[in-house]
Amino acid sequence: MFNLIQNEWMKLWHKKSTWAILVILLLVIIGVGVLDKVFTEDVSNSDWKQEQQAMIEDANTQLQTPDLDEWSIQMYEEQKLMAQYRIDNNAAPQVNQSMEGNMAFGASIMVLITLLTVIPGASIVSQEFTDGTIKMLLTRPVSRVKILASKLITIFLFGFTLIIVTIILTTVIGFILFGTATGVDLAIIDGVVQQTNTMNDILLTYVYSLGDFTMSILFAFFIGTVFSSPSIAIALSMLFLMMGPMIIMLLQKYIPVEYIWLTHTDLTQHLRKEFFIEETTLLMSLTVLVIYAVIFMALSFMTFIKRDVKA
Amino acid sequence: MSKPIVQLKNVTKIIKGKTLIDNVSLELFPGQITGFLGPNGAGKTTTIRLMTGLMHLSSGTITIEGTSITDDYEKAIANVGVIVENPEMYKYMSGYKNLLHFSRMHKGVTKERIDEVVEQVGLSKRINEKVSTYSLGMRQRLGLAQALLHDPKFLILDEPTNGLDPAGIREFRTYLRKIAVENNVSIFVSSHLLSEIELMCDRVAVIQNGKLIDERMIQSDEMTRMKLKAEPADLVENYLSSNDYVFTTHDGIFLLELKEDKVPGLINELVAQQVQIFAISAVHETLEEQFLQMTGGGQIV
Repeated sequence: MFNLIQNEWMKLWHKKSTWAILVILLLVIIGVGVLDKVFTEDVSNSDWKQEQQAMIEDANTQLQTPDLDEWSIQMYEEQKLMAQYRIDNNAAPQVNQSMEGNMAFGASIMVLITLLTVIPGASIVSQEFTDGTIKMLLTRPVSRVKILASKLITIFLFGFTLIIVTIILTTVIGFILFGTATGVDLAIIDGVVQQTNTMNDILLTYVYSLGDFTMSILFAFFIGTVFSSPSIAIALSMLFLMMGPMIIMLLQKYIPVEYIWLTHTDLTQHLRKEFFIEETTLLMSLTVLVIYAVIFMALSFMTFIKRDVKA
Repeated sequence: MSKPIVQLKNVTKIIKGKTLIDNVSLELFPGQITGFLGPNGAGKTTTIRLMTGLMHLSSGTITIEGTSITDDYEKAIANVGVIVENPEMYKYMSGYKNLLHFSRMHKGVTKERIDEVVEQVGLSKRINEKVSTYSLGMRQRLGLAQALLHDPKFLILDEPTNGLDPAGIREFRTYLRKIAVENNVSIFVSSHLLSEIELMCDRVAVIQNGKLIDERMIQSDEMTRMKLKAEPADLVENYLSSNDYVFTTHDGIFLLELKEDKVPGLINELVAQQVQIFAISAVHETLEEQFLQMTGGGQIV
């Protein structure tokens, strides 16, 4: 099995498209960091206590406006709470871009990483068919299950490589360009002001983004295995990846979309507590995703094993 | 005759109600090159895809060295080297990387073995260049190299000389003959070219419309036709008919069926009868003629 993965890894990195993918990712990460550095002005942070005091007074004035809607009231109340907390606890706000901020940016481009992994994911099997190399690959003393598994594992390894590159690069670039954070981020949870752990948030974003990452790869891999045409596979997977929410919106009227995987792929909705269709539990989302993951893989393996190779 | 290394028994392949391969049975032997002849679309490639496990059998069995490919594909295919049509390689990698790739899929293929095979097929100089820069002939040789890596006992070649120039074909032929004889490898070569099969093979199997219609040895030395030019004609004719030779005569030239080792005896007898012999030679019957015979003149190729 190790030999087979080694083979797939070797083939992957001998393709120009793989390097193009890596270059695109590097350009986005470096480019955004540099643009941030060039276009955001450094703001002095020395008199932040007066500013916070001003914010409290501003909120108080606003709250006296008659017929204020509920949403605004809550917003100003929270503004007051946070400013008071900063003054009481000597917790300066974040003003400039920081290493942590850049790392959070890294976590936010998981969609891009997923997109970039879907491309080889959709073509790793289908390309062998269009090139005719599949017949050289399958007439060996190795079962088709192992060959397909080695390809799937290789794609996940590639995706994880991109994630690790992103984490390292956003941290290093962030540190070089901006240095570590000087302030403290706050959040109000259940009416109580708390200091947020930025690192924890970043980590959670990465972890929750793995839902979309995994499902998109499995879907692309499945399409690539069934259709054995890289262009159709890439196009279809991209369509589902980008238009997923729209497809769900359209289907919503006709079928119970809570049983469609696209409704649940974005697990970060559980982090943000803002739900795409309606509130669900993490358990429900994970269950739906696991079921679909098993279906996609079962269909990929079944078609690959049963297929008569004519290429 | 030694035991067959490959056995096809009642092999049938039906796709969407169409019988592509109909009840084909065939045995292949070590050290023998068997040609697989038939027009395009007769089922040559399908048969080969069934033998290599690229397609699944509808019914029948294929065993390689006693192992059924349906029961234990991995064991059965371990002794087989395959080139199906054009050997499609990973064009974006070097020839060497391609061989390394395939070597990892077999047990016990060392780096030394790769170098040895590269040397054998004469690709040493260009092996580290990308396959996309190779000529068709070089790709065929690389294809042969990948098929030979694991020292197979059975080689399946589908249209192997497609795109080779005459010199390349000749070289290829010599090479196949060499490994068949020296390593006792059984080779199965498909082609739609009669002349090619004739020059390369010991034996030929003919497929038409998915059915195996004939199987025979090529240039068997059992009966050869001899052309005899001798005078006087009536004396020769008398002698031949009284001694039960099968012959025909035309313009003082006799065509008779005779084993080569019986030729000196016949000459002595005729000379003793005061017959003047001007010439005697073997008539080489081409495969094409044999085919016309076996198919009753029907169109084969």
